[in-house]
Amino acid sequence: MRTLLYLDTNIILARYAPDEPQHDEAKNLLVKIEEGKLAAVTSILTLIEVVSTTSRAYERFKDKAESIKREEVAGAFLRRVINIRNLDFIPMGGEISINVEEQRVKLPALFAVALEIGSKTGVKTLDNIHLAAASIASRIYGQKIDYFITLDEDLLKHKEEIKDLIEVKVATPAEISEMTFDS
Amino acid sequence: MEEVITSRFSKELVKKVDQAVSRGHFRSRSDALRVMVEEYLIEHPELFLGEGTRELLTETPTMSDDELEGLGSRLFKGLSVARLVAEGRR
Repeated sequence: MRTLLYLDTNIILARYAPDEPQHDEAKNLLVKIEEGKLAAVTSILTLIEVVSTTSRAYERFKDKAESIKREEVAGAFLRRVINIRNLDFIPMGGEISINVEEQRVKLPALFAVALEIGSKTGVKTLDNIHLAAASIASRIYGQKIDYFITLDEDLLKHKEEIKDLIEVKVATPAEISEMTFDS
Repeated sequence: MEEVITSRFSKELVKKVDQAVSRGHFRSRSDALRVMVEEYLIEHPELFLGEGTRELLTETPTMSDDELEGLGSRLFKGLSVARLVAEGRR
């Protein structure tokens, strides 16, 4: 069984940011995924973060002598991310009804799991959605996520807590780059 | 302003609608169908969305990894993508 990874948005973007300290490791990881040596999943939230992060970076970039528009930059990265081979996107899932006395709220399954995780961790709101997607992926694939790969300092700080909660090890690309994976 | 429309339904479907009316869930067949259509449209916003995303994808250039890395080197120069993504989560 191939090693199954959850990729945080920052790993995918680090692959295209040569100045990022773990750019080479992120790039090697993505190459192994595209070659089918590793399997990977991420949340659909990643698509939004790719667009919003590249779009915010463009704020600083726009004054430079470039003819490419903001939407073209965001769209080009989005297009490539959607096309990464062997990377599956965890959907929001069907709706779950939550009833409190007379009130009823319908939540996508992803948010319902994020809500549960959020009540037990100190991580940021959108980090919770990534953790929820990793948790749901394990159920969809019937195989536990082996590693949640991230460069997010806050998630790395909570790695033990996350491991206890969703049974997934949190690691950086550098930490797993030396490992030998079954193919 | 209301408009009367004509539509065909299978006998089985009409029977189910009539049952829901007779059980008091709706005032009439017309009321039942109106509510069902309204609720379906509320629960399926995707019917009216997505055009912008499709445009974003169709109107942007396809770039190779090398081209994207070149673009990324200029776009993210002096920035940490890990920090940029984290800032967006605050």
